[in-house]
Amino acid sequence: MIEFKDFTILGNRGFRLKVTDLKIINGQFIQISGNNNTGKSLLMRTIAGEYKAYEGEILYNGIAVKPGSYKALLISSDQALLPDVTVSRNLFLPFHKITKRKKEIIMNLLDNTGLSSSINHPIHTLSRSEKKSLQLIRAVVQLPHYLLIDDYDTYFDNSSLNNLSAVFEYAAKAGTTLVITTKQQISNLTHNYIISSGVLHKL
Amino acid sequence: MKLRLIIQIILLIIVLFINDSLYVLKNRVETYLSDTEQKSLQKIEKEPAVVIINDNNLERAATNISNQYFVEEVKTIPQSELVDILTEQYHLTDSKALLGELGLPRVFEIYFSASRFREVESGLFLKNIQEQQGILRLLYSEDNYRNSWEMLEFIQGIRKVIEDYWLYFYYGFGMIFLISLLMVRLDTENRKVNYWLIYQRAGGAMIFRTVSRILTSILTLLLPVAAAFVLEYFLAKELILPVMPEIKYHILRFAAGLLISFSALLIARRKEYV
Repeated sequence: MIEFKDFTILGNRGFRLKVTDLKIINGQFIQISGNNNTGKSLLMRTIAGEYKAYEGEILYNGIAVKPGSYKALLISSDQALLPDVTVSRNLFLPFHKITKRKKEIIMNLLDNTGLSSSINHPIHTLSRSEKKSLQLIRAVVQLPHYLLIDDYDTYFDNSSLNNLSAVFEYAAKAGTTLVITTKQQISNLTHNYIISSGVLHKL
Repeated sequence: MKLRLIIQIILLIIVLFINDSLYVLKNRVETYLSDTEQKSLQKIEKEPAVVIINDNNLERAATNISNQYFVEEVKTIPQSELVDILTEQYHLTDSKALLGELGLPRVFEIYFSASRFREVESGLFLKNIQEQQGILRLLYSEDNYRNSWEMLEFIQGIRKVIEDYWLYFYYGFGMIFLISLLMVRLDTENRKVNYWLIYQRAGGAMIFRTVSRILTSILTLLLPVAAAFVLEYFLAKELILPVMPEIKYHILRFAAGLLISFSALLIARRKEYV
């Protein structure tokens, strides 16, 4: 579990985001909503350990740690796929060695998301949503403690949720906690937060 | 291994070969110059001036001439030997006894010190000969020595050029190798910046980036240096190459290259998610 103690994220031009209510409990699917420029991406990058301008402490299982000490993977708008190489090469990119079992899991998840036919195609032939799905598959098979998806609703809609159900199920079984940020709140999720006026509130 | 990296490694091997070829070429030139110089010196040493002189002036003139710094040896031909020569040359076998009784002029040969005897010394020699008394004839011509003098002067000129410019030239090429290596490493690292950034975002362990960078640094250098060394060793063993740079030179070059190769990691472009 990750807790935030007297935690404030500091941004440019005096921007501050106060994070006190947020508790990321293992296995949950958490949604953080907010308008543009409210600090959603900064929060995700801070949890991932990429952004270091903050005050306060992050407690991981009750112990103060540096962000990123736990295994957290972030899926954001940044380029995270090699555009000129194949889907399979991109999927296997982070693995030093790829086992037969892992390969099977990846192929199953690709089948379920309808991407198996693209396995030998270069990334640039895929749509934006397909690219994000690939990133998602690549991330969940690494069994991270936390999977952070920034601007979820920019890439995925409700129908995507159905396509990706096998991926999310796999993540849930593996005990991966999912944290997503959205502009518009997606219904049917139980753990929801909203950012307004520089403060993160639990709904 | 990517084609670009292979081409870059081949390029480094070529630069190293040129660098080592310069060393071999210099050694060959020096050997050739030394041989040619030796031949020219021997030619001067073996070409004596011959002086025919009155018997009573012989001792004094021989002493005076032999005191010159450019004279190696003054060799007086004994009277008996002279009689033999004349007898043989002019078929005077029957008159040999009579010849011995005659007061023949004396002959001595002057052998010059090859390292000191040049055109200036030739002038001094002629002047000295003129000062001696009783000289009947001098058998000497500067033309006999001129080719040797010119060759020695040419060799000296070449040696000076080598001495003056060799270090600049050789170490200059060494610098070209190091700069080429630096450019190759920077090019490789800069091209991989995006790759590693995506690798990191994909969840890849960054320790592999560190390991990969160190291994690439070593391999990019080790392959050309080892290839140059092995080939030169083989050529020298087969006597195709007369000389090869010493092992310590190869080691030193590898160490300098390694330093440059790792320096490239420090100055290579860095990119992080911001």
